[in-house]
Amino acid sequence: MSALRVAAESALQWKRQAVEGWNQFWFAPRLPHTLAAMRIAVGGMLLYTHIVLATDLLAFLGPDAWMDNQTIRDLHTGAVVPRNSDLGRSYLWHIENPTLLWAHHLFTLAVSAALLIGAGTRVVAPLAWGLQLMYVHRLTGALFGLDQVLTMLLMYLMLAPCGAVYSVDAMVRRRFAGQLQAGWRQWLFPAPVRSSACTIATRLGQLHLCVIYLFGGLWKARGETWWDGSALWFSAANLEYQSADITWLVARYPTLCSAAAHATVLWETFYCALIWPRLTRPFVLMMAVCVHGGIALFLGMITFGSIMIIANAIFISPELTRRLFSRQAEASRDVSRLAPPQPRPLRSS
Amino acid sequence: MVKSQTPRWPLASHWSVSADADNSCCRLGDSPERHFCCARHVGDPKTDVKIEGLQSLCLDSHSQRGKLLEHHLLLLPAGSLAMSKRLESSPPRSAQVASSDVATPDATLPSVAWRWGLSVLIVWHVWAVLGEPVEFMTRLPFSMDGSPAGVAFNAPVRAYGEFTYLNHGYAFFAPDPGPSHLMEVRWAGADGSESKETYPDLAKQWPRLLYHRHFMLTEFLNNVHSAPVPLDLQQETGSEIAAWRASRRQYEAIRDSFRRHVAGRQDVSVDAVVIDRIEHRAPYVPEYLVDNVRLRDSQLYMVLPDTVEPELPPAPPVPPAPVGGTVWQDGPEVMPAGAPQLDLSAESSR
Repeated sequence: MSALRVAAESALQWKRQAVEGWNQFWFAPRLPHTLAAMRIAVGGMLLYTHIVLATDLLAFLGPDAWMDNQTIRDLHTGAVVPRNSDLGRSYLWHIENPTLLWAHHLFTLAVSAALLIGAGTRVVAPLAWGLQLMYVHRLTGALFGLDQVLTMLLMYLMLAPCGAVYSVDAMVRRRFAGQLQAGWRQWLFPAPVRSSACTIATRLGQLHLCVIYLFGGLWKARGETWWDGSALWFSAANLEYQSADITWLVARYPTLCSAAAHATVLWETFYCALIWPRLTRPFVLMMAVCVHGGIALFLGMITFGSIMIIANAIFISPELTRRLFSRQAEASRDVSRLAPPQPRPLRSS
Repeated sequence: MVKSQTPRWPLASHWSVSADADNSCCRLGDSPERHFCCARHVGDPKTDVKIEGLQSLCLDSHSQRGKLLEHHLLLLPAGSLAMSKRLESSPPRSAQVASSDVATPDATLPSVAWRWGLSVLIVWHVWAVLGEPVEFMTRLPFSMDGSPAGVAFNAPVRAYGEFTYLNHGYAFFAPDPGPSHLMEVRWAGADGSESKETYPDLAKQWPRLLYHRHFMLTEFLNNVHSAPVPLDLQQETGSEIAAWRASRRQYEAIRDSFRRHVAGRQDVSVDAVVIDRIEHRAPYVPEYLVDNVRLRDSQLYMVLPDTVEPELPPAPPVPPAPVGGTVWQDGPEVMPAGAPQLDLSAESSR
């Protein structure tokens, strides 16, 4: 009987701790500073992708695009191959008029810019995500990892008050402090306080990143070249990806390069475990910068490499981000204080 | 505050924090659950208000076991804060940072009902994040289906993942970095002259992201390629042959959309446009080092056939090795493992 009681108490204790751990992990309030810094980077990347798309907009979205509307519609709805149907839907499938497409794209550019500077973030963040979904479901075939990670980050940023700091919203809130302290105005211009929304957005992003790396590592483990170390060679020697020729290096130092291939697989596979302890986190993040920096510099995917580094920033504590940015702000204030005063222009009478 | 001897900071009417002389320990007194906290401050010791990032080791009266909690304990000067009574039923947490860019209202956990609702949504979403990669991981090469368990795991969240664009396999440069697939487009002008362009082309598509979009299109065309059903199978009516025909129709639809785009750009008839798929493999290391084969060498490019290759006659049987050891024969050099197979780095890698 006493053994049963001990077991029951132990189970209760386990349950209490599990609930406490769950609450702590998902809901313990968190500052928005890291997410706000990421908003700037993600907004910048989103704006850039749409600017690049604008350089040949109708070739990708127009009535005579590479993949025209009918082909895209049939692909997603399974009109030709029923088993390929999915729920990817986009109203852009139904827009053929070039003027309307341009107007829509200009609106998207404005939303992306607003996200970058944090103007009306509570509205533009979900709007940017929704527009991004419409674009990715229209651009099937022309997408790659950049679009996957960008859409993912937009989704999580919109869950949090990522415009509470480092934003136009924050400037407006400070300027009109007395008038924005209640109701929808307070929601629209949130104060940079700890909130569970920041924690949920951060945790979802962190877990998603762990999933990406875990399956990236497992897939590499299914190949052969990641085991014999030649994967780095076949990546570097791919002319279409290459942005800087390092084949001379990779071919002549097989030990070094195969070690790098093995390290990549190990790092990706165990990222999901090693990123959480504070002891190993800096090394895992440093490796992320090296791997994705290498992809950005040598494999011609500067956008993909950059967005992965930005995504990894989600593991940086908001307190650290706040300190880094406030020190920079202080430093710039000091510099401006030390700068000699500008002579006043003479007024002509 | 920090340097004082055994300071006490009243937090609420019946709450107080006491700390020992070196501030390595503090205690929340008069608590029903008697939290005893060892705290380490990482803030500026000269400033009262910048104490943050505390780790607290709490002992609660129920378990009498230590628990390391990484939340932030609130320590502010006397009278500066009214701590929520919620603290009575939960461990101390939530440091409020008094700073120019951080406001200081009390932050609390959502209510239990909210937490339940949010937890259900969180579990659903994380399931969706995992669903497609799990199913995709259980597929064999060149197979469309994952394992029954993988398919069953993904089935409930598939639609959500598809709409929110979570349905990816994340097989970047995996399982092996493969060859590139390009597209050679040829068209006949009105005067009968023939022109051609190769996609992607760094010289014509700039910036790099625009080039990469075109590159992904040519990879996509190759990934969806399906040869026509061979003549000797044309009369078959089985489901596999029907699926084959449908795949071919889809490939032709996408290829013809590409042809219409080129025809529109070049102002020629669609019938005058021909698209060939080109595979560009990387040289093997011995080819590169010994034979001096460079990345643009013409022998590395191959026009991919549109039809199914005719079956080769079976190879003659290998004679048994003579007793007493292996006979080394002249033959092709054995290349390192990892000949390019599948390029799953593109969007189609889902």
